[in-house]
Amino acid sequence: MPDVPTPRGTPVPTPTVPGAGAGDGRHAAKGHGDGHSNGHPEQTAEFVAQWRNAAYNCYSSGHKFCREVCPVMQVTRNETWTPTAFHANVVAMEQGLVDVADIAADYVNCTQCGACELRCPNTLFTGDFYRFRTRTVDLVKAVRALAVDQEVHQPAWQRWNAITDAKTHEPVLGSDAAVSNGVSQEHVRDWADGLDIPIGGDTILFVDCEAAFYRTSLPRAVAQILQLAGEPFGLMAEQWCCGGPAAEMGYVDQARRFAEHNLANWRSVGARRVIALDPHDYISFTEDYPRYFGDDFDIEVVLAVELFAELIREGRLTPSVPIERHVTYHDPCRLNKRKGIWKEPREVLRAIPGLTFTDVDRVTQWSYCSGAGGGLAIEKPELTAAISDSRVDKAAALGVDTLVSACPWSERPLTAAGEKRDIDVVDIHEILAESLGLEVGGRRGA
Amino acid sequence: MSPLAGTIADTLRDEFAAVVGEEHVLTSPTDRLSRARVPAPFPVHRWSDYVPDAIVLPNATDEVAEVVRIANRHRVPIVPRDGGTGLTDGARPERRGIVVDVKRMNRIEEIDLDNRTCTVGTGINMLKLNEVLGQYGLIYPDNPASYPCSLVGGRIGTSGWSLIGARYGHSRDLVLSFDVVLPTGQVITVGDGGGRKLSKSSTGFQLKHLFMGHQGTLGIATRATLMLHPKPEAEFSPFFAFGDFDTAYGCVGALAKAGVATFAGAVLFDEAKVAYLRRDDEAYIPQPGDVRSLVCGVAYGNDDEVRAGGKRFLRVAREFGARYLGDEISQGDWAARHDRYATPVLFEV
Repeated sequence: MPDVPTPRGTPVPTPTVPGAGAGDGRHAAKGHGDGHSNGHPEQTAEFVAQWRNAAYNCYSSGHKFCREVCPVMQVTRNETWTPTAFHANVVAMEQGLVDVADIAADYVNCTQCGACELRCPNTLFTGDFYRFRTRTVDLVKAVRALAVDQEVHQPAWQRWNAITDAKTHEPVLGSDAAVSNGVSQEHVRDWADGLDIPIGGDTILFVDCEAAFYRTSLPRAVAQILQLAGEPFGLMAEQWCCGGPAAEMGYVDQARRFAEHNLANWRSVGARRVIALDPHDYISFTEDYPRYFGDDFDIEVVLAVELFAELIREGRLTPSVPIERHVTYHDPCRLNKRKGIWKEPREVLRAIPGLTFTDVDRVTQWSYCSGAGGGLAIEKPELTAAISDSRVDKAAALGVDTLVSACPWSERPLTAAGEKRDIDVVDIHEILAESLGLEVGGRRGA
Repeated sequence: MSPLAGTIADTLRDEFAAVVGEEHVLTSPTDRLSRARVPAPFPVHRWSDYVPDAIVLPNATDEVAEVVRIANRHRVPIVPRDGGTGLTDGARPERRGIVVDVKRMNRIEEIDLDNRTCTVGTGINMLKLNEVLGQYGLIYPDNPASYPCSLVGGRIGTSGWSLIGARYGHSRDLVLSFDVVLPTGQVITVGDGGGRKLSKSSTGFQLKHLFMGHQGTLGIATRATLMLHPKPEAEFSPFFAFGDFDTAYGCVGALAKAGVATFAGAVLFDEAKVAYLRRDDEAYIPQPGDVRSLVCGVAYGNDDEVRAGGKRFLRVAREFGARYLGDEISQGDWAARHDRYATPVLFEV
């Protein structure tokens, strides 16, 4: 058996987190009493009713086009952890063969990259027979939410989200108390030291947890490029985590509370437009938030790399400092596979003088991933590392010296893998800033 | 509490674990259920009747052999499983026992540039293999409809048919030799005679074809040597539209019989398929209402040869009154399935 703890039937202790639930209007993680997983037949029935059509669409096709593009499958070769199995389990639940406690730990093994959905014969945009869009990512999120709802927790996720709840940010510097203290409201704007960025305004730059506390060179690059182009923007009065990671790991109530806070904070400073520099935030703001708030969500969401490609096109940014590197581009899953954004980053790279750019087709990159998404790195860091190793091996085979990404979450494990192969991992905003003659500052890791 | 019947005895589990490692003997309900399914029509209401008691994931030929010997000693039925993508139902148990799942055996052991062969574990997928071979300008052109997901071992077990077999041959031609673990645990190598890397054509008995297409009943293929071809410089995959099926049918035959050396395969959509596709406007490039049948001809090869062959395709199709639709549909359908392993050639209409 894979070494996956399944806390079935045993009460999971509420983690002790300094400051958790400290009377600030947020709630600490729920305590758990009964520990039973099969005592919620109504919730399970509701879940099955919602997903049975999707599950049968997959089950009755069963072609498994999804499998070899799946980053987890590629490194584990375990058919239990594949999108077809994830769908089939719903059928098994309907038949009473398994309950959520039997399946929850399997659903850890997903980065929510979305490759399976693109390869699915039920989705492929021409030539197939079903009027149906496969939504494996949503299914994985739904199973995780059902598990949390029925008190079936994955220990590392439970702890991570409890700390996030207490700190308003993810413990990206480490989850032990001393280190996680560096991640707090007090320090969330430290990255911007000396950049003279106002609070509030029509446009807000949202800086996700990994960028604000770990890879500070990234938000510094983005902010200075915006300043260079004369684009006015400000920061939030009190920024919390976007809530996306909690939603991905099944802690949906927490995710919703974080979203409500952020939206209220944007409104309180008069913001109508938010610039996201992280693809994960971009997913939260363009998919989760509209789902939470419906028509009330009237914020325009802009992705930094798309904005920069446009500013380059318009001649408002002109990279002119030659960058003598041989690069390839890593399509972040949430841009290429989830949002279909792959042209603009290539436009940006092709505008930088001095670069030798060896590109890999975006369809080929459907099967590439850093392994960092969907909470996998928190619960199974060894799988994330194996997936990043495999990704950097593919870059190394091209003979490049640099792998450029556009996602800070990918850059941490890719950097670790790159160090073993002498490949530098750089963010696209950082390399653009350098070519624009900016001294970025900040750091590329803790 | 699960209605699934019990798994294997701890002592037997320990014996398998001693060979493949504790983490590679799987017995959870989801492990078992997910290996009791194939795309063939399947009685979903009797799913639990077809689950294995356990799954063993070996990583080498000698591990497979030892697992088979243990199972024999305990009289436990064995079903080998590779991709489990076949339409003929071979990869799941009828009478419980164990599934020997070879997906971990997906290493590329050797790429022989001189003899233009590669030797691989049978758990490797063709698309993934071709991602590596492409760096050497080579391709393994075994191309079933399940190209993105089926595995070399399953191709041996089913003696599979390839969509581009008209140009490159099918699994039986492209698999030169392979190791098989027999039901006794003995390991043999079968091939075309004359060595692992040769396709010999001469007198003598050949066992290779006996051990292809048996769906795992005669043994478990673990390691195969494959014939490689130069990666095609160009692909031409035009779609042609017709007002009726009979003319389209005539055209597809004429394309196949035209003697074009780069001709690799053809696809024919009848009225029912076109009608079905038409109602799904997001999933199909809309065609005028008078289009009732479609033909796609596919050519692979060197750029100059594909261009010459493509001209012949167009001439043949024109004789049947076809309307050339370009390769926009192929860009979506064929290329998305096949990961663009050649550069498409688009002709002016």
